[in-house]
Amino acid sequence: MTRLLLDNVGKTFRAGFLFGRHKTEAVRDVTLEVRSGETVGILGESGSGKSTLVRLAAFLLRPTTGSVTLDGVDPWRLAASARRQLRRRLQVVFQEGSDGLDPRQSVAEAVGEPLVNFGTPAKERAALVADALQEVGLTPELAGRYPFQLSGGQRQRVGVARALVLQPELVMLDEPVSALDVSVAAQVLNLLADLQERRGVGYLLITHELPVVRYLADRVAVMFAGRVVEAGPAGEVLTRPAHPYTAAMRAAALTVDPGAGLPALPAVAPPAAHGCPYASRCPAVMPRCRVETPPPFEVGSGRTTRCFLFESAGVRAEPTSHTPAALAT
Amino acid sequence: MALLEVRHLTTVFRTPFGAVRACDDVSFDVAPGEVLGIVGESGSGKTLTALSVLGLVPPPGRIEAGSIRFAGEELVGTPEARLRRLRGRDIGMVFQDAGRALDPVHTIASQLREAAGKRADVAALLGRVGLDGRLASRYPHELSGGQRQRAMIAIAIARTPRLVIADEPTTAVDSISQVQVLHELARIQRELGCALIVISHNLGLISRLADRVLVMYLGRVMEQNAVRPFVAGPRHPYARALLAATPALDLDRRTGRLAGIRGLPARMIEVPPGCPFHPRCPDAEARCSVEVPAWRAHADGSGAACHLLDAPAPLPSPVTPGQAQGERFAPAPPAAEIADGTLP
Repeated sequence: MTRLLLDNVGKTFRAGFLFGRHKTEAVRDVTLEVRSGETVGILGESGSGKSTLVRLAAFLLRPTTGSVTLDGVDPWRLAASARRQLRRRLQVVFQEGSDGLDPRQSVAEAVGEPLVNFGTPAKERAALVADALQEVGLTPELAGRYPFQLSGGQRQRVGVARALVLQPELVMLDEPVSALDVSVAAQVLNLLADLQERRGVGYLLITHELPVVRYLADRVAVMFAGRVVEAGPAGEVLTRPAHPYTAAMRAAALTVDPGAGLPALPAVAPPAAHGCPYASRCPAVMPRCRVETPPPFEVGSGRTTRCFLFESAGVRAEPTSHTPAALAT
Repeated sequence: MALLEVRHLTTVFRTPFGAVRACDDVSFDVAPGEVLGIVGESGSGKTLTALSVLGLVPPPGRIEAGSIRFAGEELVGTPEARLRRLRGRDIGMVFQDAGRALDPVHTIASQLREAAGKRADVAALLGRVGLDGRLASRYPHELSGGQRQRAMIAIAIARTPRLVIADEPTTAVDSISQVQVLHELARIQRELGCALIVISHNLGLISRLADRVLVMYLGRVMEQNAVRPFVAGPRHPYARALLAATPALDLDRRTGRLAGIRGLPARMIEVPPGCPFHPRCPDAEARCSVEVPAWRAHADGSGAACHLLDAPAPLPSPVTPGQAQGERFAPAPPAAEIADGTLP
C-alpha cells in the first residue's frame, strides 16, 4: 500500500525587490494523505493554492514548512537522482490544452517519452506504449498521429496514457475534464474510474467542479486561500457541508434545474488577511473570526472543519497529528 | 412580432478541403425581452450562428442562404457601415474571453467612451455592472477575471441595446464568480428589458437562465423548446444524451454511472449523411443514415429534427428530470467499442 503524506505543508513565494518585497503564502498548514486505490479530491477556486499543492505533492516544488513523504521517504532529503527515481512512482496528468503535448511528437513518441527519460530499453518500449494506449481506449493506428489530428478527448487520453506508462502508484489529476465537452468529459471520468478499479492506482484529483469531485472522490479537502477549510468523506462533506465556504460552493453549482433560477448571489471578496480567511465573505461571521484563525474541529467521523461555528459541537482536532484524523481512513 | 427572426440561415466556409457548413438551415426567433439559450458542444455551430447575426463571420466564411431580420430590417447583405452601427447601438456582444476581447493598451474608461460616446458617464456605466468607478482608469490586465468579464458587459450594454448576445460568458471564470456574472447578465436583461441570447455548452447554466433553448449539433438545430418542457421531456435523442451526460450534483460513481455519448464528436469537415447525429445515436434506424430528418414543428413553436418522432411507438418514454440527470440512460460504450477506436 503506497502512502503519500503531506504533513503540515506550507509554501511561501517571495516576490518584489527591496521596499516592494513581499511574501505570498500559497499553501498553509495542509495535512492530507493519499493511498493507492483511492481518490482524494481537492476542491477549490483559482487562487486557493490547489495548483501549488499538486506541485508540492508531485515533488516538483519544495515545501517551505512541513514535509511531503512517500512511504516515509522525504524526497527533499535525497540526492536529485534518487528524487527522480521516486518521482517515477507518481505522475501528473495536466489539463487538456494547457500545452501538455508537444505538437511535434506523435502519440507513440509522447507516450513513450517518460520511458526514454527513465532509461527503458527501446525494444521494451513499443509493447509498453501499446499497452498504455489500449488501456485508455486508443487504437494502435492512432499511435502515428500528431496532437492536431486528435480531438480534445483523445488528447486527454494520451495525457492519461503518458502518465500510466511508467506504472505509477499515484496519479495527480489537475482539472482533468474542465476543457472537455460534456459528453466526452463523462467518458474520461468513467475511464479514470475504470482504470482505478483495474490497476488500484491512487488519485489526487484537483478541480473547481464540485460534481466531478463528488463523482470520483472517496475523500475531499476543500481549499480556500491556501488552507484546507473542510475535509472528510466526499459524500458527507459535499452533500451536507459544514463550512460556510463548502456550502457556498455547493449552492453555486449550476445543475440542470429550470425551476430553480440562478443560485443566490454569492459574496465575493478577497480573503481576509487576519483571522479566518473566509471572514470577509462569510454570512455567519462572528467578531472573533476576524482576529483568530480557527483550528480544525472534528465534526463527525473522519471529518474536520476550520470554523468556529463548530467549536462547541466538535472536538478540537490535533492539528500536528501524523495520522490526520480527517484524512486517515 | 419577433425582435430577431432567423430563417434557413446557412453559413458556409469554402476551404481547400471542402465546404464546411457551420450553420445549416438554422431557423429561430427571439422575442423582445426573451432569453434564448443556444446549447451545443464544440463544433456545433453555436458561435457561428451568433457571428452570423452580428455580421462578423470571418473569411472565408459567408452567409450563402437564408435571412436574418432584426426589428424588421434584413441584415443579410446589409452594408458593413450599417451593421457596425447596429452592433454599437442595438446589439451588444459579450465574448467568452474578456482578456482577449478587451484592448490591452487602452484603459477601461477609454474603451467605454469608444462604445458610449465621449461624454459618457464612465463611473455610472461601471456602476451598472456592480464595478467600482475607480476601476475606470485601470488597464484590462489590472483587473481580475470576473472584473474583466463585467467590464466587457458594461461596454456591451453602454448604449442600452435591444439584444445582447453572450457567447460562453462565464467559461473562463470560477464557479462562484460565474454565478455573479450570470446575476449581472440577468439583472441587466431585466432592467433594460433587452432580449438575450446566451450561448453555452453548459445545460445547467442554460436551464437556470433561459426561457427557451435551442440545441445544435454539427451546424443543425436538433430541437427547440421552452426550457421546462425541454428538461422534463427532451424529444431528440441527442438532447436526451446531452442531459444524461451532464453530471448531477450528488452523482457518485459507486451508485450510478454518468452516460457518455458513444463515438467521436463528429467534425464539421466530415458531417455524416442523413441525420448528423446518427453514428452516435442509440436509436438510429436505417433511414437515419440516408435522409436528413425534416423539422417536426409543434403548435407551441417547439420542434425537433428526428425521424423517430414520426412513429411514437419506438420512442423511449419521456424522461423525468431526475432520470435525465442522474441515472444511467444510454449504456456506456462496451469494451468492444473501445477496441475499435471510436472513442473520442
